[in-house]
Amino acid sequence: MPSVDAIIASPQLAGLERVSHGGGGRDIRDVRLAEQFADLGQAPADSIVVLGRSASAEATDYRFDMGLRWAALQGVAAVAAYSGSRWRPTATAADIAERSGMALISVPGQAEITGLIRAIRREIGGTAEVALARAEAGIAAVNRLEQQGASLAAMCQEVSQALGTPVEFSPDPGAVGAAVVTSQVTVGYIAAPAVTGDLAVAARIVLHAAAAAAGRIYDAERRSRELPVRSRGQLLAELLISEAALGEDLLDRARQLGVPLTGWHVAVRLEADNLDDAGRDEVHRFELLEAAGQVALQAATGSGTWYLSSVSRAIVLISMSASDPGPQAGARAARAAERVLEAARERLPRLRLRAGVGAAHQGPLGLRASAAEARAALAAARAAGRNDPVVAHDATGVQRMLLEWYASDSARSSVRELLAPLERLGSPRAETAIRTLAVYLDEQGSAVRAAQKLHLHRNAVTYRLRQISHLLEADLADCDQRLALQLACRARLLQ
Amino acid sequence: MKRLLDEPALRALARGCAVLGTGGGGDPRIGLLLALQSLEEVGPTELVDLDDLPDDALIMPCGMVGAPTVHIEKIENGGEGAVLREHLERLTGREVAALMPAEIGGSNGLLPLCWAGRMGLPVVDADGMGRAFPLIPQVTMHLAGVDPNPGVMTDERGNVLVFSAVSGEWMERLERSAAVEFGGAGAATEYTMTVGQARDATVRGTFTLAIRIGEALTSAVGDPIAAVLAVAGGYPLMSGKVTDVERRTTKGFVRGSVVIEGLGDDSGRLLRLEIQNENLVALEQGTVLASVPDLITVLDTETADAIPTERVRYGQRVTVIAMPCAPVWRSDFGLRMAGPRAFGYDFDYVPVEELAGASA
Amino acid sequence: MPALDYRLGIDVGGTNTDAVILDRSDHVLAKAKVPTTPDVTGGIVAALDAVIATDGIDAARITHAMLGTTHATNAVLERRRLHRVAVIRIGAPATLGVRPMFEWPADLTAVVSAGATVVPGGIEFDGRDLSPFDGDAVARFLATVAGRCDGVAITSVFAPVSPRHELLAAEVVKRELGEVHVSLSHEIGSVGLLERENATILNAALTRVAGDVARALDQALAAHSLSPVTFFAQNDGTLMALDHALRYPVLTIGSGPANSIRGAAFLTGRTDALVADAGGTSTDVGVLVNGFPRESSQGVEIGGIRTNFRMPDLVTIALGGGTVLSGDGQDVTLGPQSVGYRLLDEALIFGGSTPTLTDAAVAIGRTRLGDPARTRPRRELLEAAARAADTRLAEAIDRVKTARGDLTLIAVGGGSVLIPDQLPGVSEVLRPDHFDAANAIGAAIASVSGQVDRIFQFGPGGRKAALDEASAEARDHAVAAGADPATVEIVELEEIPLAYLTSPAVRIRAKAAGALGGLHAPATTG
Repeated sequence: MPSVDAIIASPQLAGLERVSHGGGGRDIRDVRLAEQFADLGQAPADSIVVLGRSASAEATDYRFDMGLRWAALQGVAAVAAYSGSRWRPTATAADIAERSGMALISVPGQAEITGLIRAIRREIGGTAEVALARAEAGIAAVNRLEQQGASLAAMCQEVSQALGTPVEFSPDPGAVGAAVVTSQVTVGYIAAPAVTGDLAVAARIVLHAAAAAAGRIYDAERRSRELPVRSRGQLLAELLISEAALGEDLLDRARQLGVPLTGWHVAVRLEADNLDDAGRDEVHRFELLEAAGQVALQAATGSGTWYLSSVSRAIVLISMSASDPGPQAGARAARAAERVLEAARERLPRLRLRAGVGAAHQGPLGLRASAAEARAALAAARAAGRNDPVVAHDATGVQRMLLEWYASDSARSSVRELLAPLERLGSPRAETAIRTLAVYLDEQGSAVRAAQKLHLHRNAVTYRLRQISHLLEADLADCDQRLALQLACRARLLQ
Repeated sequence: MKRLLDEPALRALARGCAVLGTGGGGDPRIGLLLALQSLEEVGPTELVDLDDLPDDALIMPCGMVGAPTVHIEKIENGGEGAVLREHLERLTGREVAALMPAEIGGSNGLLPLCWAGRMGLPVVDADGMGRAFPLIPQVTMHLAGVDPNPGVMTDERGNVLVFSAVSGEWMERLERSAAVEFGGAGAATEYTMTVGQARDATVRGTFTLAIRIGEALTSAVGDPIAAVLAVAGGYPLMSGKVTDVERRTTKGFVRGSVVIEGLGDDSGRLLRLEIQNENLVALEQGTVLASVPDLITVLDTETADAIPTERVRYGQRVTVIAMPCAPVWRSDFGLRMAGPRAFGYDFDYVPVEELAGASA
Repeated sequence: MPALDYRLGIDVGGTNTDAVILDRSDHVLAKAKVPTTPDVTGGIVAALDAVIATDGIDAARITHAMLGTTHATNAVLERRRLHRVAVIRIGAPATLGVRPMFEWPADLTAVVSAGATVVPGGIEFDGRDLSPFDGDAVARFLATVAGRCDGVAITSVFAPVSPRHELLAAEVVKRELGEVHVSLSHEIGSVGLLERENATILNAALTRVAGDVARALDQALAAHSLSPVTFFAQNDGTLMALDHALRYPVLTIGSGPANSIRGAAFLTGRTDALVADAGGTSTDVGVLVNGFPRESSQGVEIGGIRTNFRMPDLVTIALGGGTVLSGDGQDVTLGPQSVGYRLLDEALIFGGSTPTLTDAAVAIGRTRLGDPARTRPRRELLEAAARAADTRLAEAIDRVKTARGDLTLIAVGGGSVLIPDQLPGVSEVLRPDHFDAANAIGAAIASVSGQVDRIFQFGPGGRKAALDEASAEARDHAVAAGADPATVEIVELEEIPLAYLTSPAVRIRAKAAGALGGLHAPATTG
């Protein structure tokens, strides 16, 4: 609500002057015209009453004193009168006004009354016209501030000024407020607690724009904070995905980004079982994983130095330490993984995440190895139908031996060669075929058990196997071939 | 009860008439001098009560009609009353037994004494207003339905006009215009009545009251204003300093406002007086404290003498008092003739006793 | 009119008579203070002698002398040296109800009145004849007083509207009695028959006194081989030339307070302030407005007689330097007696035994005079007295103010040491140099004025023409009184509406003032 002094300070109302001692700070909600002194007693509280010309000419009359008193009883905030030169109220009128904190305002003789009333009303903000003008000003301010990358505080202050009503960042939206969302999360509301009427509608428009801009600003801030993290993550992803030898270039970049590749690494791999269902489309799935990664990193950080990397449809967290973290490293990483999953469940309840934990290895190749172990752990768990959310690599078991074998390039090319005929089926038939073969071989050639595992009919399994063995030109009765194929499938499924 | 008015009584009467004049009625000083010269030349005038006279005796209400400014230059010659009486007796075929002031307030309270004394007639202890009013029909005789006719006017030269007017209002118009021809003022009589009529048609005892007020002023041991209030049954409204005087003249009638700033116990208060030829309304913070027909008088704070409206000036130390009017003015007819609306003030009359009680 | 060089100002006060000499640039070259003598003239002569005798004064350079005196007041109060006056009122058949001088004290009437009459004639408010002027009645009356009167006072009803009957009567007087002084009321006072008549009669009665004073002053000056142009101070703080003063001596009454106020203005350069003039016996508090003393709204009484003269609006309190104190610290009484000029013998600080307000001022350290040690035995009384005096002064100041807010107070007069530096309602107290001779200085620097106060009918030119006419008349009067026409300005113009009168007429007061005829700009420009 503008005050008397604020209203008459407007350039539209130049020439109006407060001639009373006090009353300048009174809030004005409404404006009225009084043709007779008796009308003064009908005006509402906190209004400014403008006397018509003929009444103004009689402002020295005792009836004006009486009218002022009625106005005071009504809680009128200000009375304005026309005057050729600056209005000099009588001592008694000034006294009545002073005692009730009313302002007396002199209106220059040439002011046209309807225009005057309209101008005052605009200043009070009682019409849609003003509200729209303020909305415009507010949105312009928001745009300007977003371009400058201004802070949330600055945003609130400027919007407040443009709207002419207080605007604040608050945990509670109140009657008129808009949510500020960053990374899918509402961090608070930009609200205008005191606004009413037409201005409230304008305020909503502006606040939404402001909140959206604030959200974007937040996001940009976060990204710029996280940029180094992203760069590192990028690097690690390259490291993990590429099969080529590690070039000097990669190591250089690692050094620049402060990533201690030469130290010891423990990898935790997070996959979502229901990613396809949780995400509407690929983009959404990507975003969900992004969010999950953030949550994971936040949750993991605190127990050692963790780095985050996103690879295809999975998140990899790597704990790096300068020296050998010892035999408990895996267990620690597993506990960290549990925390991560808990946090993720809370923040992103729709995603069903599982974590695979690798063992500690040194150097860039060790990093690959640890990541591979984490992946193998998940794959093995899935293959075994285990539902544990966190599965650790079997550091001492066959897995390790397998992984070591598989880590070698010659092993990989053998596997590729062996399964090439199935690969030629193309995805997804290749996956189905290899999986069927893997399960069959794991179940020691029992079609019945394989069918159970695969949720297929025995005959389907038998049929598929006839196809597969035909394609592979392999004799599944030969145990060497069987072993080779079993190993090859295992390795293949680790990918 | 009869009483001869000697010099001390006359001087006291003059002071009392000033107080009852509510700021108007003309400076009683001239009336006093006329009465004193009459006292010197022909002896004291007798003051009688209505009950001292037979019911059918004729009373001649009289006074000066016209501008007070003229009154202080062109003083009466003292013989006007005799001219009025002679013509009245001729017109009515009856003898005038006593004179009565049409208004006790101001100079007109004393003028009839001079006239009566020089004729050897008494003056009755009564008047037609109990105060001063500007217009001829604003008298209690009018309220009682007494016929204003015949109206007789004379000047110092001996010109005589006899009016037969259709109403009190018309009597006012005709006499007023005649006064202008006379040079601004003339002596006049209207509302001739018998003692029997006068009993219910006048404000009785006002001479005695005025004399007592004057004596209270002269011989007060303590505060003279308190003494006046005690005698007159009045209320103090405010004591302070005059800080603003605004006068406008419209159609020969002066209207104005006076602002008085309270001093001492009244510090911080502002009183506003609306005046025409008399003090008519007292307001504080837009609320009426007292209004016509009740009496509002401005007294000099030190001497308690009444200050006429035309002599109110910046810086004067004054005390404003209010006194209840004669009850007849509070009737519907009375308020129509002399209430606030009759003077152009847009509010309803409330008796000063009520208003004083409200603010106490 | 000789070129202006030194000016000699003399002012007679209740206790002391002061004299000053100023040069062309208004510098005070010399001042003297002597006790006022009962015959007044003695004191004037003594003051004159003393100031001329000041070292370095070349008395021959005194070109103008101004006198503010109380001769007229004293003559009325003492009923001495008054002329016998034939009183004519023109107004019959009106006004017979109150005869001329009706309220005068009998002893004064006995001394002043050679006889009184009211003749037919007079004017109505609108300018018409009240009745035809009866010159024969005047002549008949004059025959009865011939040889017994020294002057004639003529007052016509509504003379302020038109003086024509008064002028006609003056001609009859001239015809019948020859060259005898005639006072005409329209030249003396304004609306209010009795007050104006009183003033006119007093004026005619005072012409002898005026002549006596003028002669005495002449002689005193001649004794020093001086013959400057002489002026008399008027009640409004301006001057009138000698011949004007001889014709209108009543205007010299009340010049003292006006001179003090004008002197205070001059010494401080202020045009708006309060002025407190503290003398030996009393203190006058007045108001300076636009360079001139604010006039009281009521006519002043002289010797118990009502007039309609405007004198400075003063509040006078009976406290002065010589006020005698009695009582003790609890209950102190201030005066009203005063030791007056015997202060130097009687006051405690000068070895006397009478506690005075001057002693009180010394006791509380407000001034250093005499022997302060002598105040110690009565310290309690003196301190209480000082406090009580300050309170009374503050009350007087408040009574004379007309607006809210603090004003500057200029303290002048020999007793002004009593006035404290801090007072409620006062923003600052100025004590100019030569404060003790402010009245004489006021007389010396005064301008010459002329005034008009009468009723004007609106002619074709309307209100504006009436105002112009009044202004022009006032200017003429100022010049006639001795003002240099080139410097005359209107210093006051007031319109007073008349109640009840329906024809367009208004009472206008106009005052014009200018410098002494000489090469000097008025000291009054505000």
